[in-house]
Amino acid sequence: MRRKALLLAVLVSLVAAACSASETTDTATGGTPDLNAEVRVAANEDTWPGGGTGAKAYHYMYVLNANIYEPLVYLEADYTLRPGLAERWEIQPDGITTRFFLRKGVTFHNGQPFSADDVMWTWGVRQPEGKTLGTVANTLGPDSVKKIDDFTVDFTPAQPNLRIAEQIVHPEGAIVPKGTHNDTMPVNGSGPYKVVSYTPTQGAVIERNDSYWGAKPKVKRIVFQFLPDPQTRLEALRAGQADFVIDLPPDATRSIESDDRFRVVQSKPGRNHLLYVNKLEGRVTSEKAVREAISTAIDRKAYVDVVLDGNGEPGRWMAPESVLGASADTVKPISQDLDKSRKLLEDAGWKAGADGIRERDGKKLSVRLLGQQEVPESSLLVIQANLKEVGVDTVILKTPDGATRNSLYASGKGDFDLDLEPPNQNDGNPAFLPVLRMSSKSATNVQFAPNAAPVTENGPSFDAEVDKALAAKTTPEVQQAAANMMKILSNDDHLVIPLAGANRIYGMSKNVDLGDPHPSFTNQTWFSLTKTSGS
Amino acid sequence: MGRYVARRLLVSVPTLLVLSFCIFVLVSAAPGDPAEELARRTSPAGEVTEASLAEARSELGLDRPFLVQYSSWLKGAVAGDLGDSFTTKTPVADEIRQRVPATAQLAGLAFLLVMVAAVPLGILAALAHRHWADHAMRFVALIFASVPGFVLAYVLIIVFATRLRLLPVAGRGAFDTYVLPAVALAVGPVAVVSRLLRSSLLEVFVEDYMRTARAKGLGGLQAVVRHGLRNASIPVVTLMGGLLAGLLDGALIAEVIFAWPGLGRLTFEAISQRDHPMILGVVLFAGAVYIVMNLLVDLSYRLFDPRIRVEAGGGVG
Repeated sequence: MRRKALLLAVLVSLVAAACSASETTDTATGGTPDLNAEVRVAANEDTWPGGGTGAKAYHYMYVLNANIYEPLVYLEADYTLRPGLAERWEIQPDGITTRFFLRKGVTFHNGQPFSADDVMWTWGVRQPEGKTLGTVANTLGPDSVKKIDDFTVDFTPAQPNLRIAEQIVHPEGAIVPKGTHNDTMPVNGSGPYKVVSYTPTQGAVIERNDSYWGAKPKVKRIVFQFLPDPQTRLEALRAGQADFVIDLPPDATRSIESDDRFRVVQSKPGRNHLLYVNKLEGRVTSEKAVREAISTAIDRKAYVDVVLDGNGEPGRWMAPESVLGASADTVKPISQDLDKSRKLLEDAGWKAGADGIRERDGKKLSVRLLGQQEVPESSLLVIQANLKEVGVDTVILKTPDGATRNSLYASGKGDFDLDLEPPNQNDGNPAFLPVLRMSSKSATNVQFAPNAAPVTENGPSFDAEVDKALAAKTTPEVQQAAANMMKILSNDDHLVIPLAGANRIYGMSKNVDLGDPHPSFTNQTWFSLTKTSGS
Repeated sequence: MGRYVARRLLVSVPTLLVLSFCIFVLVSAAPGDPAEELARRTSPAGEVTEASLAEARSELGLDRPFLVQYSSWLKGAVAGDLGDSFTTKTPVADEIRQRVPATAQLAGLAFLLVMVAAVPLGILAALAHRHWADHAMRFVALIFASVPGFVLAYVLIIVFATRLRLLPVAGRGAFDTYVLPAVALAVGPVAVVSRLLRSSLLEVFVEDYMRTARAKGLGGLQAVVRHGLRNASIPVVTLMGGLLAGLLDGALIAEVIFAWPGLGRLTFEAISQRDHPMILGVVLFAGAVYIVMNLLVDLSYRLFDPRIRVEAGGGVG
């Protein structure tokens, strides 16, 4: 009997040991996560003070998110929502209010308890003054945020918008303690990490918040080094001075992967390379046939191979596929079809000239292609080469900075036909980008808005979908509205030509892993960052 | 001497005025509307409306006549107020003040390296005139003077940080972090200065006093050090004055590659973000540094050649 009991005890302890080993062994690194580890991260340029001071500061939040402050709602890597400082939320019977039920028992790093007063301060007082808290702030008036009790807050936007919970995930909207800002010293958030030190333009050290209300991070310290040059970041990894590199250049991916000392972790596409088409009167692209011919002339697979070195997917949507859910299939992929492209142009009267460039009534078919600073030169050249195949001449306008690009927009019109931009999807609202850029109510983007003059055949339907998206009460409803908008823009009216979805690329030492690389860099959390000791 | 310095400082005032006006005109004429940029930055989603544009224009004073804008900026600049940065919303003068030490330290070290390396190399090349060593040094100097700064910076990082792991890749901290950026900044000037010194020395070698020195029994090197170097230094000092001014204004590319928090990186950030007040501030600062360096160079001529007198008329002769 005693022997049996002993055997049982041994068996139980063996099973327990096996279970515990499987919990603590990192599958990617094959070692045991070192909970006291320090990970040195080579990050991009220091953008934290970029928003200014006080309510306008980006410190620790944006673009690099140090997880010092927390939003009410987190955006997961698959673009679903996860409760943050709000445990749950629901649309109220009035049909316009979103009610947030706040988490109890949360404290800020200095021990001060979190309550509705902090949400009121962040969104009800600071936001109207600072106006930097993301797109959601557009729809909020001074009295839009109301405290119901210590742990319940209502958001009632001044204009119809039921997308609050999806928009509020943006790190700019993270909660700061009442009476402070995110550049107030000492830094006091409620997030999983605390600030140890910060040296502007050089780096920051953050440390695990052992009093965090949720699952604790798996490394003790993260040392961010701000290295603005991507090649320098790469060399820091190779030289062993960094364990982890943010935004590895796509063309460096293979060399890092082939090195036994390192690994590459990629997110799903979160940044979409999009070609916006100017439809204003007087532009050659005001003709639908020309727009469609351009769209069908582009080889999206080649674009991914050349521009992203294969680290992405051919473009189909304006947003990551997962944010559209089951409605993603509404938008059809467009493949290169040179015959179709040429026929569209022939039928529209554009005939090939002696030099291969098409002409009509003595006018050459030439488009001006705008590429802003962060657009790689190669992407413009791929488009130029593709369009040349169907007889369209392309003049490349590569702008050195945002201001030069904005000047070419010339107060809402602009001397260009195509504008290549790589926007990010940083919130959970599936309709974020089409509404922001293409709604006729948006004052700055009349070039692309289907329902702004000259109105396209699907213009009124597009704006109807905008309204549906803002008023949709369920996720599938807004996903469908967003997909319908993208279909109009890309499949029907050819005002947006998705070129590619680009992955976020991280390089790291073999003993480091990031379990949930986020397609939206600014929503990256560091909970899943591990460093193993035994690999 | 004192009167000369005072006069030169007085003359530098209109120079700075003209410079500031030119900078103001150029920055204002550059593509990009600062008001639009400000409106975009202060908008939650980067949108610009007619109202926000008008508000930004008024905030920046761009709704006033050009000369009024200039005089207002100049008045502030004279009082040390260069306006606020668009991006950080902090005073431009403070930003510049914070970045100067990093740049000055790096510039100082790079300048020291240039002196330490270029002078012996120049002397050696002059003494070995038409010898294979002279040809070899000319060849190497040509290469180093021709290699773009960013290429050299990457080569240094790959060799000394990545491969040999002797030095840090980037960042500013302990002394070892200064080595690679300082060398990257110094290599090109070493090549240029050593070649100039060589040519200058060769001109001096044929002078009577050099022949006399040698006739009195001084060896080649001794004659150069005691008599030749001083006389050959005038063009080199002129060049090095400009070089030091350039280094003090910040090395744009090197500071970005080496993540050096100095004026060069500040200038790069200001230009890429079209931060007009910051661009105006750093360019004005750079102009002031050049003017001061020119004055110091002129004053130093007398140290190298006692025949040169500072003339009451305002020049050196």
